[in-house]
This record gives sequence, C-alpha cells and structure tokens, in this order.
Amino acid sequence: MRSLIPVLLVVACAPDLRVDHPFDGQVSSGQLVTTQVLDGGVTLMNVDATNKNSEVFVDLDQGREMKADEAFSTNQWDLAFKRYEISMNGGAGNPTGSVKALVLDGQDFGALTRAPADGYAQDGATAVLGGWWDYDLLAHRVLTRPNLMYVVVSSEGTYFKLKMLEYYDSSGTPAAISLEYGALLPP
Amino acid sequence: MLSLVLTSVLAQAGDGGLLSPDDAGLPEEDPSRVTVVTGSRTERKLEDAVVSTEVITRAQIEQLGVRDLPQLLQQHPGVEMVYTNRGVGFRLQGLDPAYVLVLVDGERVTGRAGDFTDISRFSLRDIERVEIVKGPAAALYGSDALGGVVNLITRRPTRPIEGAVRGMFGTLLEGDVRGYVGSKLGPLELRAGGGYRTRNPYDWDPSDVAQSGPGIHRIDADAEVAYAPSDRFRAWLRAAYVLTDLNAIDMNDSGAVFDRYQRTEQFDTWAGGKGTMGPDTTLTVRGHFGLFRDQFLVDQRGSRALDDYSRDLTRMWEGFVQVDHRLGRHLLTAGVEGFSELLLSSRISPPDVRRGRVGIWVQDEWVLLERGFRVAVEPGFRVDIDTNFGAAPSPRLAVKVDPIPQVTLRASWGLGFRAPTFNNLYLLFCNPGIGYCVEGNPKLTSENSNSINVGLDWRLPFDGWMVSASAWHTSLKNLINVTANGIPNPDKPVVFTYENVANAYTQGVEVSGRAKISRGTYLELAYMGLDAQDLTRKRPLEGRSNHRVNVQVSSKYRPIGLDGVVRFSWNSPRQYYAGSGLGFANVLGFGEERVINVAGYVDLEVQLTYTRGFFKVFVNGYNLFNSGDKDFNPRPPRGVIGGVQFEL
Repeated sequence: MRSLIPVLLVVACAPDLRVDHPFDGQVSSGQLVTTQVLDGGVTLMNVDATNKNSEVFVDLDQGREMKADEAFSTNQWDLAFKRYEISMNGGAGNPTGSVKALVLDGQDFGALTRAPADGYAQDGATAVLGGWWDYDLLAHRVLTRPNLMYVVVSSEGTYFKLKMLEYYDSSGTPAAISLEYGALLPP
Repeated sequence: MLSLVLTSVLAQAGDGGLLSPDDAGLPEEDPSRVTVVTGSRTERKLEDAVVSTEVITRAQIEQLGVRDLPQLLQQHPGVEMVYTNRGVGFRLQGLDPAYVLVLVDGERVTGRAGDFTDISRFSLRDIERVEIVKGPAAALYGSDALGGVVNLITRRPTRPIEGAVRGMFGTLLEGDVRGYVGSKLGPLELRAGGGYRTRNPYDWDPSDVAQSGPGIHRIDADAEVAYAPSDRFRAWLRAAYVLTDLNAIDMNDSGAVFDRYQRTEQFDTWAGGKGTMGPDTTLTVRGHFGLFRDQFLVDQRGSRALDDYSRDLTRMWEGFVQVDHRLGRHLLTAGVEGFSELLLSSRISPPDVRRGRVGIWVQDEWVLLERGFRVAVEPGFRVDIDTNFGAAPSPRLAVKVDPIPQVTLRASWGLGFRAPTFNNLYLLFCNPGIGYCVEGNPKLTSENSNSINVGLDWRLPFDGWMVSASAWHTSLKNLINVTANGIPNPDKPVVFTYENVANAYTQGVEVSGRAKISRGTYLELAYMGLDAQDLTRKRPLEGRSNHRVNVQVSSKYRPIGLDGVVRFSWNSPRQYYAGSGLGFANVLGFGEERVINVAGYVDLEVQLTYTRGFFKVFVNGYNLFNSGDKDFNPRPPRGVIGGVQFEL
C-alpha cells in the first residue's frame, strides 16, 4: 500500500498548490503580549493566545508577558491565557499563587476608581474569569459580554480593573485577545 | 431546451411519419435513428426503449451554443442546478445532486466535490449526446442512482477526416478554446481533442471583499483509438485528463479574509471490447482506471493563524462484463461489475481507506405484443455487495405500452440505494477559524429509496404538436443526516457527525408541450410541480422550488443561415433553514433553526447563430434578468459570450 502512494502521485501532473500560492502573512515573532497605554491610566493589552498547547503568562503589575520559565520560577505572573480560557495564579490555576478576582456586572469601567472591599475568589472547578465570552451559534463567533468586568488582585497585591474587548484581531484570527486594564485604589 | 426533453416523442414520431427531421429541429439527425443505451444498458432505438430516456443530441448542443454542461442543463425541465463553492451539481425529481449518478459512456467517474460529482468539469467538446433517465428506471445502476442517471456518451468518428475548432470570449473575461480531430480509416478509429477555459471570479455582494463564484482555469485533453473491423466487433482504448484551478476570496464571520484555491486533476483511462458471438449473443467487457487528485488551500490575509492546506487522492479500478442474449421476444441481459476505491486524504482517519463493491444484475426485456397494441415489460434485479455495509438489492420493473401509434405509456418502479461516501464514513476535520469539527461515522449503512414513475407521450394529430406528462413518487428512508454532539466552546462548539436518521419523500408532475408556429419555428412549454417533504422534521426539503415553468422559442431561417433560440424559466420561491451548522443547515439535535424564505427567480437566455458553410458565428446572452444571490443562488451573473466555430 505505502509503495503505491508515490506511484499515484507521479501520475498527477500539476504542481503542489503551496508552490504556486505560498502562504503569506507573518508568523508569530515570539512577542505574544503587546501593550499600549491609553488615557486615564488604562492600558490596552493584546494577547496572542492562539497556541492550543501552551499558556501565555501575563504579569499585570509590569504589563508584560512572562515566559514559562520565569513565570514558574518567580511565581509573579497574574493571569494565563490559552485560546479562550483565562486562569489565574491562585486556586486551581496554581495553589501556591495569591491572585484572586471579582466579577462585576453592569458597572461602568471608566467610572470605577476604587476596588470593592470583598467578594474576591480564586479559581475553583470553574475559573473566575471563565465567563467572559458568549458564543453565537448561528454566526459561529465568540462575543465578549460587554456588561462584565473584573477586578483582579495581582500577585503583588495591586488592584486592577480589567475588561475583555475582543477575541479576534483585525485579521479575524481567533484567540488573538484584546483587553483593557487599569490600576484601582485599594478598598 | 424543451425540444431536448421531447426528443423521445420526436423519435417515435419518426416512423409514424408525423414529423420530418427538419420539422423536428434536428437538421443533422433523423430522430428515428437516435439510439440510447442508458435505460436498458444495451443500445437500442429510442422509440423502442422501455425506459423513458431524455436525450440531448450533439446537434442540439450545437444549436444551443452552450459552453459547458451546467449551462446545457440549466433550463432543462425537471433539472434544478445547485451551485456550491467547490462545484456544480443538479437535482432530479427533487433529489439532491448526491442522489444523481453521472456516468461517462456508462461508467462511473472518479472524484467528488463533497458529496456529488462536479459536472462543470466535463467538456462538451467530445460529447455525442447526453442521456437522462429519471427516477426508479435507473435502479440497475446501483448506488447513487436514486434520482436518476445522466450518461455522457462520447462521440465516435465516422469520416476519414473530421474536426472542429471553437473559440469563445465574453463577460468576466471568459475565454474558451477547444478543438477536436477524428478519423475513421477502415477498421481504425482515431480521435483526439483538447480545450482551455478561463473565467474571472464573480460577486453578488460588492459590500465586502468575499466573492460568490470562483474564477476558473481549466485544461482538458482526451484521445481514443478503436478497432472496429465490422459492426459485430469493436475494441477501444481511451484516456482523458482534466486539470481545473478554482480561486476565490472568502470571508468568515469573524472578519478573517482568505484567498481560496482549489486544484483538481482527473485522469481516466478506459479499455473495452464488444463483440457479437453468434446471431443472438453479445458480450461486452470493459475496464476503467481513474485517479482524482484534489488540493485545497486557504491563505488567511495578514496572518498565518488560519492558513490551511489539504489534499486528497482517489483511485478507482472498475471492471464490467455484460452478456445480452436474444431469445424469441426476450432480450436477456446479465452482468457483473465491480470496483475498488482507495482514498488517501489528510482529512480522514485513518489517512488511507479503501472499499470495494460488486454488483450483479439480470434483466429481461420482453415484448409481449409487438403489433398494433404494443406492450413490452422489462423486469430486472440487481444486488450489490459492499465491503462496508453488506448487501443492497435494487429490483426494477418497467412497462411500455403503445395502445395506438400516437400514444406511448410508460411506467417503472424500483428500489434504489446510496452508499455512504468516504467523507460520511471517515472524515475527521476541524475548522480552526470558525470552530467546528466534523467526524465521519464508520457504522453508517446505505440510504434507500422506493420509487414509482408513470408517463405519457402523445403525438397530437397536428403537424409538430405533441404533449408529454409524467408523475412520480419517491420515498426515501435511512437518509444520512448531519447530527451534532459535544459541549460548545469557542474552539470546538459543535462536533458534527453523520447518522442514518432521516426519512423524506419527493413527488411531482412534469407536463410539457410543443407546438409548431410556422415552418422552422417552435414554441415549447413545460411545467414541473414538486412536493418534497422532510418527514423527520416535518417540513419541506430545503432549497426546492415547488413550481417551475420553462418556455422556449426556437426558429431557423435557412435562406440566410440564421438560427435563434430563446429560453426562459421561472422558479417559484424556495425555503431554506439557517441553523447552527454553517453549511450543515439541516443539523439534527442541536440548536434553533429559523426559516428563510427566498424569492423565486427567472432565467432568460438568448442564442443567435449565423452559419455559412463550415463557419459559424454565434452570440449567447445568459441570465439576462441577472437572477442570483451570494447565499442561495450563487450562479454566474448576467453576461454575454460570443465566438466562432469552424467545423470540417
């Protein structure tokens, strides 16, 4: 059977489509997290979470990606992204971590300046930040829930407000997540 | 086009003396000499065929000036075209393209565009005639023939030297060049041909970058050599190659833009012989080897994340033996055919799968009464043994009655089946961009049909007038349907698979008439009423027009060599269902579905041909009402194509 395959392929005359139409676009350069500081102390963060097999670790305190080695050795990472899943450095995500978070429903992102005093939790059987998306079954498109935002207590004890913005980048690539976050005054 | 349907009527008028060949609009052929092979698997005069067979002859193809098979069948009564991203198929008697078997010289062709054979890849250059057998009469062809069979009969040279060259150019920068040469020198028959076709993509919705129909580049070539020392023996060897490139721009719901390319190659070679053994026995032996290579590439613009490439290779071996023996008023036919099919694909699991099937059939064409009130019956029985799902019987009974020379009644009943495709059985494919997976089901068994068809041909006692009517009912059971499983999430929201779970029926009537307006001018009318119901979901089957009307006016003005044909059709509104399954709108077991009512559409086509000696100049305006849309009827928009032809 295997010996037959080359024979069959020789009969086909036309070249491989990949030769005539090589893939264009940029391969990921290794920079999986980019940030842009906006007005009002808010930072826009883009996370390339397209890899199905590994997480992208983010340190909110420093506004940057932490590669896995650094994340595990310092335990200073706050959130981890893999496709649509977001876990935290605490609870089921990592029992040795201290990160915790709170879900706020229906509050204005810009108007929130001081963190709530209580209600924080760590990941359990379900992730605290697991409900940020909604799936449109007719359009097959992941939508963010605009009414939701989160308050995250980072590994350094800083309070951040965080809101998911998009699951797709401008090319339509899924798991190219964009979010905004900003520091809050402590309760 | 209606004249094509009525060829059977015309043919029978031939010996009744009602119509001359010229009146019949077939200036180059005597209709009483038209032979068909599809209905009984044995060549015979159309007027003698027990099974109703519609024929489109070479002369009619030339008269209509069409450039490909979809355009030829577009306005054929009872035929409904289905345009998809990856090819063009058609419905017969309300049954989807997957239930229509396409043959070349009686043999299956390799490769499918999804579930059906893409008929746009067949060149009309070397087609002598197209035979269409609708409904249960096709049961003796085994799998896939539930709705009927379309058999493309290739031409044979009849003169020492013959040939033709044709060039066309038109809207969408469409270009088509094709040529053919043939020779019959004593017992030797030689024939070769080739062609090239190109067309730009088209778009029904300019508001986005996505395109509705692909651009085409196609090269095809074929050659045949045959040895026929007498009418009693013929042996042949034929090979054909078709390369098709399709390209278009797609866009998904998340805004990702893709350049899509598909490249298919089809290589077939046939060999066979047919000989008469004694006065009453004929033996036919045929073999076929086919390869179909399909490459599919999507290149996401601005990113590599959703790029995808896949390739399939299908290989088929086919063998066929048939014996015909005349015994008094009986013509007994028995045969065996088998094939072995191999698929190598990056989208199935395991990556190489094969299957085989052997079909055995017997048939008796029995002329009960041959003078005056003529009666013939044709019982037949076929059984297929498949390596996947075991045995599938498909009996058939056909009856033809001519109570008077002007009237022919035909009826047929048959059981049919359709084997699950390789994709149905073994597909394993996830779309990373949109987020669904499709998994085949190796436990699938065949789909089954039970059909009955009755028809009447009545040659009225007016020169050039005739009426045909037929009715059918097809009951479908065990239909393979897409079902949904799994817990939704953005990466894998639904796992689609296939199960034998659905039942349906289609039934309807076809009525057609032809009237001679003046010498050389004919008016033809046809109506098809269709009732097609999904019994599982208790709703109409998707995408069918319940009513379809065809009108054709054809006229010849010989003094100046002018020939014109106007074809018009109206299709009533159709109903579609939008569900959670993208292209799988009919998913069972998942999500809400909503009904989308799509307006009916009209189709108008005009062909003018000027003939002078060996030359023809022609112009064809197609889809003149510009009917179509990007979602439900993505056919080529309004256009004009013209050209010249030189024929020896």
